[in-house]
Amino acid sequence: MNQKLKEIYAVFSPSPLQPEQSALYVDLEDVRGNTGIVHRMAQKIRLADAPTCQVLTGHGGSGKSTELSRLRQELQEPTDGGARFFVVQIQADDELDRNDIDFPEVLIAVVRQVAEQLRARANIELKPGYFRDRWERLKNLAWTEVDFEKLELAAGLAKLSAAIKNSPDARQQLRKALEPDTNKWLTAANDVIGEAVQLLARKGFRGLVVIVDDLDKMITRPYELAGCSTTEYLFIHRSAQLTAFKCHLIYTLPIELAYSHHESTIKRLYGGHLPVVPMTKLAAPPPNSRTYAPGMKKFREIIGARLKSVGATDKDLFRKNKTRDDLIKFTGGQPTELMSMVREAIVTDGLPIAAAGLKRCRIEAMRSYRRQLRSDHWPLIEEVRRTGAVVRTPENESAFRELLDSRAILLYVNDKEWYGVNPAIDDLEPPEVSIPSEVVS
Amino acid sequence: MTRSPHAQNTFVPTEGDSARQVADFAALRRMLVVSEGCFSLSFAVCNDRTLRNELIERLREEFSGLVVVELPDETSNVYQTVCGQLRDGAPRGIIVLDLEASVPSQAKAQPTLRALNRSRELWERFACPVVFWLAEYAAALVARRAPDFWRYRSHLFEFVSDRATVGEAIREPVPTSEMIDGLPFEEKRFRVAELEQRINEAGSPPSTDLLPHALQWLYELAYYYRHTSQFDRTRELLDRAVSWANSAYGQDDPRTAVALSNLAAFLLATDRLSDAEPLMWRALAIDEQNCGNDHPVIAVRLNNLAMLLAATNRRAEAEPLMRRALAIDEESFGKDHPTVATDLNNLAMLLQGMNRLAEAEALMARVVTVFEKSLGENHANMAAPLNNLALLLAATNRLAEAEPLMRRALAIDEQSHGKDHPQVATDLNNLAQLLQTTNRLGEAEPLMRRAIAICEQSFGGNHPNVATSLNNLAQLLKAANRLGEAEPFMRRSVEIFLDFGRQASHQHSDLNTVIRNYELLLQRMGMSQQEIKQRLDELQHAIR
Repeated sequence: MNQKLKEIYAVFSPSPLQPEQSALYVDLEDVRGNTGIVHRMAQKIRLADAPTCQVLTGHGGSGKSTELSRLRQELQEPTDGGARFFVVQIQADDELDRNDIDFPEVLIAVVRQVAEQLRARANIELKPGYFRDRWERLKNLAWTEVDFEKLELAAGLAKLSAAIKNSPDARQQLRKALEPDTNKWLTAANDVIGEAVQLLARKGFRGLVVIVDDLDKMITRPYELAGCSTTEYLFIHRSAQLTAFKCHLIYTLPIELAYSHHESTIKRLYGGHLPVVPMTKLAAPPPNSRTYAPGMKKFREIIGARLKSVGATDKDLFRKNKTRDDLIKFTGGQPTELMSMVREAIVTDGLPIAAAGLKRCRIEAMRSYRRQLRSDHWPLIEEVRRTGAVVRTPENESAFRELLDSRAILLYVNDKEWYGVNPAIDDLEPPEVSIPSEVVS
Repeated sequence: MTRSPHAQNTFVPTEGDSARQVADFAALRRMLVVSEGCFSLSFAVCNDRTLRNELIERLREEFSGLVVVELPDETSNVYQTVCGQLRDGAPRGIIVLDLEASVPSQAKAQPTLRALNRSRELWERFACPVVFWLAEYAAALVARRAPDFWRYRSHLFEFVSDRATVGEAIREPVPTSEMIDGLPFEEKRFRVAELEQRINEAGSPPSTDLLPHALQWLYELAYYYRHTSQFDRTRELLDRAVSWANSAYGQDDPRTAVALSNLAAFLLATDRLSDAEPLMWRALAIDEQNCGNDHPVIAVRLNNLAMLLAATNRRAEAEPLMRRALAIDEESFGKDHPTVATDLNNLAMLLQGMNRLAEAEALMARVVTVFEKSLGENHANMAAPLNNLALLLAATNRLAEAEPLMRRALAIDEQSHGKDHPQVATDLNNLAQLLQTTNRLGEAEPLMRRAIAICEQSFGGNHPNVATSLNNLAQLLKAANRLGEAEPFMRRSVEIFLDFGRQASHQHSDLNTVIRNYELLLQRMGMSQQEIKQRLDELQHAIR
């Protein structure tokens, strides 16, 4: 019994699916709204005659990373026998500190990962090129993590990346060093990329694609020096540099930025499109909110596929089908949330999951949201509850972005874009004594 | 025109200058011949001290009895001073120098120039040609404040050396091709070899994803070859870039415009102005079509075209283009943006070329202010505007004001490029020239020696840039009367230029100047014409 418990627990991992796990993959295209993201993004790359830069957004846990894995697969091993691309996928959290991200460290991260993955996966050793010269001029820097003596780019940058991720001081120093000359550093980076593209061509790859995933998880805070938020600073003010790499790029973008009043700016800066991985429709838009059968079916399929892979069935996991359906509804269509909730329920109650156990999970989730919500959030929540849409004004802009960011309201795209209230909040009433909004001094 | 670190802001005149100077010098000599024994008043306008001294030397050699009067600072009565300096006997001719020192500013100039104006008729007592040799701005002052005296002249000769007074246009930020400048000599060669190999392997034409990189490699190599004067190879590479861009992107694509523009810039720099011009108009048309009339890239094209027009003496046509570029950039970036400052810099240089010095200086001061505000006073990009302002001040003889600016530019370039960068060598040369002009030969010498060392390290011992620096040092040593020390430097300079000619199969544009310098030096050392000729023949036929 214990063994079974562990196996079931393990298979309901919220981590993005890797291409090898295709048995667990359930295509949510139809119930997400037929967005065809993977195909569109791949086509954009294939048809381009110049390096492209695309962004992808969606709530955390909507399945973005899984989709990106599929994009990677599609580009590296195209099903129609088209040209192959070498895809370097970077998880931002491996290289960067999500509390504090600026362009210089993104540059180092991209270059290092390209060098590292070319070496590890394609047996190509990139030379430092102009990086050596650039680094020689930084002799006044106290740290000596960088060493290009052996003329190997990947090895030379390895320690630096560790320092960048872990030490705010190192990041400060790096920025001070790179800022006066960002263009020269970009030139050095592009020179390395050029070498990479040529060497990859020898191995039959048409080009290089770099995916920077998890940037959407960067923390958004006010950034006083620039007079805007941290996410606005990186993606808008530094867009010229982010888009300056001469290979195909894909960045994930925080959803609160994508759906802010900067939406059209973002579209313009990043190629005219803003693909979104929305939530799965499980119910009709408010106020109707009737259960949407196809969505429910898909989520049941997800559960079924996971259980099957460890030789279990619904009956092993849920006491009653109704409990299963209730749990599904409670996720609001967030695939990752489905995983987390199953795990939470298993931990709280053991197998099989019963209504009582589920209820405890719900209460916990509700509590966590109640803590976050302020008086200026509630009118928006009410509006979504009533109409499934939000009338956007400058006054409610920041509250709206906060709600999106915290997933109190969820974005859906079926026929049109609409918003739903997170089921965790659905049962909450606005507190009578509200927490006042932050005083702006 | 880019801010080329190889630009020789030295007093070695350009090809274009030479032709005009030769003509005016011939006219001056003719005037001296023709006016023998009767009074005539002439003005020779010249900004370049070294050049001035050279030419006067030659006149002295040719016309014995020529008297050169150097006016002390703050002379209030020029006529009396000149009289005081004449020995007995009628001079063959009188050359009056250094009036600038007595008219340092408009305010101070008043009494001197009034006196000069009143003294007009007295000068006729000299039954010989009188030549006032002055700087441009001083000539302008005389024309305005001593108009009667000015109108009394029979002749005006101009020896304006563009190189000495025109600063560099700044292109911000540093274009990517120029990264190669920062590499030491050995690494440059490796880099060049690597780029050649990459291009070889790139395919013809390269595949879609490789093409943007391949074009960049072509541009970087072309930049290198151009600045090492290997013009055939440069042309080959840039032609290929145009061909690749055209066939991959089509003739109306902005990337094709870039290729055309790069080729045009090269043709411009090698004086094939008429070949460059249609390419530039074409590039402008492409970009106007693709980006609209007020996109910043249009401003770049307009500026480049304006440079070409200025270089072909159509400055009046250039001005409206530059002003349009300025308007576009002010609109796009705001009035206090570095790009706007760059445009102002270019406009200032144009106005300087049209002798509107007061306007030029006002603009240039604004350039420095904007850069200081937007970049910070020690930012790497401050060096060029500081230098340009310094050159302008030097042109109006405010050497004391110019010097600290040059020193600042030097410090900034050392900091941002490193102490051994070719740009630093240029700055050292500029500063040394200024020190030489203010007679601080002892201070100037170490700077020149350092410049030579840098050029050798960066370009190799046999490079024209090294030769230019050697020439400058030799001239300095000559001015300090250390002829024996000067000779080997001068000779080596000649050797390098001759070598260049053998390898490049065309003569370097400065070859004749340094040969002439060498001849004059040997003359001064007392060699006979016969010996000099022999020495030069030896050099020209030496097998190295």
